[in-house]
Amino acid sequence: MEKRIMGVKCKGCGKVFYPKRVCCPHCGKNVFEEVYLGDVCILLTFTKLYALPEGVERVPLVLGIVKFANGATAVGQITDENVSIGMKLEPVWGSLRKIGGKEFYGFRFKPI
Amino acid sequence: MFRDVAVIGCGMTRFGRRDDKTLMNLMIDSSHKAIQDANIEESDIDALLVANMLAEKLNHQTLIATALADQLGLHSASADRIENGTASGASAVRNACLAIASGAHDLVLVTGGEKMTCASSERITDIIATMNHPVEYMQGVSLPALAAMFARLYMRKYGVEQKHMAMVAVKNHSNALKNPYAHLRRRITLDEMLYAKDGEVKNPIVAEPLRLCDCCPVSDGAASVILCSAERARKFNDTPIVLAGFGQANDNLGVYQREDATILRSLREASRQAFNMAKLEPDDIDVAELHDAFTILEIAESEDSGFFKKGTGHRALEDGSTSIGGKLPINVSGGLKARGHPIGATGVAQIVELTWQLRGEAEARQVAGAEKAFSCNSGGFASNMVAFVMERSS
Repeated sequence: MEKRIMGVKCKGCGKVFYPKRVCCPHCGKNVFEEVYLGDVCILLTFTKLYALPEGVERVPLVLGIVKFANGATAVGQITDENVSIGMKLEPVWGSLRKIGGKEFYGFRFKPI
Repeated sequence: MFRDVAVIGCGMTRFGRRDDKTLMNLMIDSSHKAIQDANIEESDIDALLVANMLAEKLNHQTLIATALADQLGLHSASADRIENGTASGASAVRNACLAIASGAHDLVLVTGGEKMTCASSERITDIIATMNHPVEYMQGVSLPALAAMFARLYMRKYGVEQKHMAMVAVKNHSNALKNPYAHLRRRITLDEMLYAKDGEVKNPIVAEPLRLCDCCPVSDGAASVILCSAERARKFNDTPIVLAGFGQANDNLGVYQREDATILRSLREASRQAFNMAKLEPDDIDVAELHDAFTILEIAESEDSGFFKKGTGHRALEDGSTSIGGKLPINVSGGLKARGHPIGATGVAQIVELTWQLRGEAEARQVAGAEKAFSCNSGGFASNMVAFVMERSS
């Protein structure tokens, strides 16, 4: 089954967060419903990282902060080096890095 | 109700690559210097706080507060280690203040130390990144990566340019030349900062738009202070320096989760608390040590501490306000950028430098007539912030 990027919507103030959390940093309430973040997000800022942490092998590692239409923000690897602020991206599931030799997976962001 | 707290002794080791000393030896050295400076006996100390982040990961040692207490002969004192990421040093000093203010302890030794240069840069980068939000960590987001994404937002929003970040490095390197304890005692120029070619070994790109010289080095070193009640301080020292106010606050752990990531909310709150407690205003401050782990952070912190209006820190830097001789000299020690950043030692070293400044003992880098000082020490990327306001007691 295809992985979908999920977040939580606060039932107190309606703000959406990624990933799920126990207390809303905006209104302090603790009741959430799970929501799909969306197919498209916008790039807010990015970097190309050349000094990599142990366990990461892509040079440069392109990283960015993205925002979905529902207001949720996320951070992650970008699959392409040609990036610019404001561009549209889509979340895609893939390998992120190794920790202690073990491979870990998560959502990366691919230019549309 | 609470007792005022004063610094009666301080000392530090030279920061840098210290292959000649173990972590414990560095901490013993700075502790001895502070004990001598305070003119006290070891037996006067009733509590020891050790600030350290990475001893079990890098130096194969835990329970290090006890190990140091044993070396110093402090067998009837309490001994605890404070780990609060890169704010461990200031956290330990703040906890010492609470212990003395409450009356639970009378004379506290705080020693912060770290020995980091023994590990590869890939390993250090990864271990330090464990301070980040787990989503950031899993994606490979390091501290320099956060600083780079933060810098890009800052540049767009406030018109900060690459040259402003470079100016922080040039200033702090120049200050460090006057500090015998500093790690990087090398003058750098704006040209070197701005026009180094891609891939050039001297100043390579670490995380666009940040180059190596925008980032603090990895250092070894230790720093110590001895605190007691302000009332008792005069018995030991003619010029006790009072820790007149302190504050501490947090922000969303993930930088990406902050509503306006360019605002250091933890610092605004910690600084507000510290100034309130001291009954002073940012305008009263003569000298400040800020957490310039990255050059952009000094600019942002000079604003969110309350010294300059948001978005104008780079202008103050440009007009010389933050240089020695300016309205508010910042990081006269060289800061994390050039004095170095042995993590657990940093927050303590800030208090050591400001104590010297307020005593008038800072030699070539002395800010003339400094009476009031400010420091901030950041845990993670401004996720946890500890601030102090210090004052020469009249």
